[in-house]
Amino acid sequence: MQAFAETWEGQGDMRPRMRRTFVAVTTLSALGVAWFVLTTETGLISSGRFPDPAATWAAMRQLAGPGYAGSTLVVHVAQSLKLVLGGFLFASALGVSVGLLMGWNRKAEALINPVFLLLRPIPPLAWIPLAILWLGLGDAAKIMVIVIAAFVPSVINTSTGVRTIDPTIVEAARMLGTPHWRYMSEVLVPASLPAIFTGLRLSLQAAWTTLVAAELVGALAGIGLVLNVAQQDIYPAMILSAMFVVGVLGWLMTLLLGLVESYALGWRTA
Amino acid sequence: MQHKYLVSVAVIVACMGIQAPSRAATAINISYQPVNYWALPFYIATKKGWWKDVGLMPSFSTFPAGPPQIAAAQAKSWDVGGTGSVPAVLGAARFGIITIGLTNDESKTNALLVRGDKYAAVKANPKLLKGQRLLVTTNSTVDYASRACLKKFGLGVNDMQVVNLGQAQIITAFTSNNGDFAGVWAPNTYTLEEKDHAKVLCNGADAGVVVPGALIARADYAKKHPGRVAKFLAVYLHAWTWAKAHPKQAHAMTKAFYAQGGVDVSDNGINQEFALRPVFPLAAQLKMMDRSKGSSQVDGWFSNIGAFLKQVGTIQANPDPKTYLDDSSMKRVAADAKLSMFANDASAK
Repeated sequence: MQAFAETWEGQGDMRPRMRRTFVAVTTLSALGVAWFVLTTETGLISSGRFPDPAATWAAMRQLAGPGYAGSTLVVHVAQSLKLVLGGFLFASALGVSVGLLMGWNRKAEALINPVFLLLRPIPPLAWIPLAILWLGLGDAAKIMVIVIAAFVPSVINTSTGVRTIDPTIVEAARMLGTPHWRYMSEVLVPASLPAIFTGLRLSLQAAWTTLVAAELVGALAGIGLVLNVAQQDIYPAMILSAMFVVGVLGWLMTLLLGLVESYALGWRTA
Repeated sequence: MQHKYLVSVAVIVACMGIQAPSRAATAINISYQPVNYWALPFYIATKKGWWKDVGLMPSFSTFPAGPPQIAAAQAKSWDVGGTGSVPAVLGAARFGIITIGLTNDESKTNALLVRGDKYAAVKANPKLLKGQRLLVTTNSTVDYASRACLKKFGLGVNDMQVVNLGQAQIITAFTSNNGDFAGVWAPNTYTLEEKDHAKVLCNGADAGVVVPGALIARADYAKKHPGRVAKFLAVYLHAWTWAKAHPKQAHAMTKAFYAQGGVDVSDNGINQEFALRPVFPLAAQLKMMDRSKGSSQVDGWFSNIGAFLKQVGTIQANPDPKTYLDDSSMKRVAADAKLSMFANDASAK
C-alpha cells in the first residue's frame, strides 16, 4: 500500500494528460484482469452468461478473418462509419442551424419549439417502419433513423449556448450597430461554440447508440448488423466483440471531434 | 345450537377441502411467441381454466421471436414453452434446452411469397429469382423453408440477396414496394395474400422439408420436476383435442387470441390455419418420437434443421437429436391414466 502511495506520489510531477492516461490504462487493465479471473480462472460467471476472454478473442478473429454476418470486419466498419458519419454530419448541420435560430430569434423559437417538444420523446426505433415506407431499405432510411437521434442534442445545446451568451457582449455589439451577418459570425457563433461542441459530442454518441436500431432496416453489412445477427445466433462472444468495435470506433471519433474542438476554440486558451 | 355449530364447521371444512387444490396449485413459467397458431392451446386452456384441473398455476412470458426466448432460458425466466423448431435446435446447441413434443406441422405455412403481378413469370421460370432481393427473418423456420425452396428451384443460397428483417418490417417493406419476394410465416402469409395480393410461390412442404414447431423445456427443470412437465403437456394436448372437436368455438377463440396480439386475421385466414397446420394427439406424438426401431421420424426432421443451421454458420456442429429430443415427458403422460385421459378428452366444456 505504501509502495503504491509512493508510486502515486511519484506521479505528482507528471503532466495532467499523462496522469489521466495512466489512470485510464490502469482501470482498463484491472477490468481485463477481473474479467479473466471471474470467467476463466474461477468460473464464477459461467460462459453461457458472459463469454470469457478466449471466446471473445476467437470471435474477434472470426469477424476479422473469415467474416461474420456476410462480411468481414473491414466491410462492416466501413459501412457503419459511412452511416454514422453521414447521419452525424447531417444532424449536426441541421441541429446547429435550428438551435442558432431558436436561440437568436424568439419568434422562431415559438414556432419551432412545440414541434420539437412533440418529436423529441419519440424513440428512434419507432421511426423504423416509417423510414422503410418513405425511403426504402437503402442507406437513406438508416441515416434518417440516426439523424433523428443525433439531431436533438445539437439543437438543445446550441440554443442554450446562444441564450447564455454574456448580455454585455450582445449589448456592446448592438450599440456598435454591428450588421446581422457580422453579429452572427463574430459574436453569436464564436460565443456559443463551447455549448455547440458539447451538443456535437452528445450527437455523436447518439449516432453510435442508434446504429444498431438503424441497421435493423434491412442492412447487408455494418457493426449494428453483426450485433443483430449475433443476437439471433445467441452468440455472446460475438456480441461482446462487436460492442468492443463500436466502443473503439466511438472513442476514436470523439477523440477526433475533440481535436477539432481544440482547434476551433483555440482562442479560449490563447 | 350445538347441531348448528357442527353444521357450520362441516361447511367450512368442506369449503376448505374444495379450495385446497387451487391453493396447492404449483407455479410454472410458460414462454411462447404471441400470434402463433401453436400458442392457441395456452390461450384456450387459460380461458377454460384447465390449468388448475391438473394443479398448475401458469405464469406466461411472451417473446417477439425465438432467439430472445431461448436466451431468456439462461436466466431461468421460463420453465417450459413453445417455439419454432429452428430456435429449438439453436437452444439445444447453446444451452441444452430439450424438445419434449411437437406443437404442429407448419411446413405449409412457412412460405416464400411473390408479388401477384410477378407470380406467373417466376412460377414458369424460377431462375428469375436470381439476383433479386429476398426479405426474410433469418435463423427462423421460414428462413429454413425459403432456402429449401431455392434449392428446389436449383438456386444456391447466394443467388438471392437475403435481407434480414423482422416479420412486421417485411410486411411494411413489401407493402411499400421495397421488395417483390418475402419469406413469411402464418398469419403473415394471409395478410400479404389478402392485402397485397401476394401469392405463395413455394412453401416448406412443396420444397420437401418438414417444419415442425417444438414444445420445449429447460433440461434442469424437466429433470427436477418431471411431473409438472407432464401436466403441462397434458393440458396442451387437451386443448388441441378440444379445439378439433369444437371447431366453431375454437375458430372464435383463435380470432380473439390473434386480436389480443394486435393482429386482425380474416375468417378465411383462420380456416386456413386449421386446414394447413396438422397438430398431433398423444398417440401420434409418441409414435413420431419412437426410437424403438432406430432413429425416430422427429430425429430426422430436427437433424435436417441442425444441418441447415450449420450450413448458414449459426452453429459449428449439428447436435445429435438424441441429446435433446426427449419423449420421456410424453411417455409419462401416457403412463398416467388420469393425465392420459385428460389429454385425449374432447368433451370438456
